[in-house]
Amino acid sequence: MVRKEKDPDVEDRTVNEAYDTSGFVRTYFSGTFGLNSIDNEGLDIISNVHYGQGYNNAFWDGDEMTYGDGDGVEFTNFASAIDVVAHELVHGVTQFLANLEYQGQSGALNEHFSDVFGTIIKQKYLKQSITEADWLIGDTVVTEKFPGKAIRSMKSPGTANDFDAQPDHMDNYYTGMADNQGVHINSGIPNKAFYLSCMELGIDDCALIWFNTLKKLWRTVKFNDMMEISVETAQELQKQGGINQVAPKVIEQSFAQVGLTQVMA
Amino acid sequence: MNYKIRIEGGFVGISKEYAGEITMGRKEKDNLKRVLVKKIENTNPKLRDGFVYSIDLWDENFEHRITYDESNLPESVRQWIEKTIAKTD
Ligand SMILES: [Zn+2]
Repeated sequence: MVRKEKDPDVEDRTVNEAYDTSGFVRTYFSGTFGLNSIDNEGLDIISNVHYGQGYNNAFWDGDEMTYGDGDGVEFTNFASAIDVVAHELVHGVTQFLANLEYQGQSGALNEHFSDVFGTIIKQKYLKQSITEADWLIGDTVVTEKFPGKAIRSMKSPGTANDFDAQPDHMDNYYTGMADNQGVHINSGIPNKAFYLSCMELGIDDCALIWFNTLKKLWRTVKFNDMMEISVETAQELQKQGGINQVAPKVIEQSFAQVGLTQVMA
Repeated sequence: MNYKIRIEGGFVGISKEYAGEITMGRKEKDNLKRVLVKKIENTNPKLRDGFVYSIDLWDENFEHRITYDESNLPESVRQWIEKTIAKTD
């Protein structure tokens, strides 16, 4: 253990960055949704940094986060990126709230929620408005030699780099087996719906809708369930007077724009 | 020893493949083979954004293919991968 809660800065900059960014994420969730840590039961937030050698990744293992330093050629320090840290921490939140199965559409939704709160928290951290924000995920972990500007784009899925295969519509849904049936690929579809919703409603109303939606989801949820539950959640929140009254319609239209529409009974 | 290492998935989601020939001492080669033929330990179902590592290794009298994930990759194999890909162009 290099630095524990309330300890002062240490010499290792990466340790301090992981500490500060994780703290910012925890404060966002407690201040906005009253969530007491990742599991709402005060779970310690543990970050492992400098993992491996030139390790180009960050992951959540069910209890803790782990970050690589990057190879220094195409990628750099994953622990210092607020959106990466928030993304990994939110895998923990999702595990405790909905435990979305990590394959197919439920897996893509698992990735989606991590990108959603990764981008919300990045905008809060940088004090940006939705029009100032770049809506990119992982822009600070790629170097100049990397063929692209980021890992993913919420605004324009599929355009963040030369390898970015994310679709932004159900017409281009990935049906292959790689990446647990495309969990990091098909998340582009709900990511785009989230971006479109934010542009109409603002990020705070959308954060509230998405967080309350997540609480209602179940392990094997599909994209259509997500769309229906988020519209239903927006209706409930709007009746309580907590959000913009056009929110249910906007959410419905945003999902329709990515090819997800309500099935008429 | 000829090798092909494929690293897929992860937060970044960009596959990387490294292939070539590596010179290994007999002891190092035997140790690696011993680990690679061991039964793979159970995976961690709570793992998110972990890499998947596929390894092909062969020479005139040994041929082996194995796939690990982030949670069951043996530490000695991780170190061998890191050392090997650092030498790959
Ligand atoms: Zn993820």
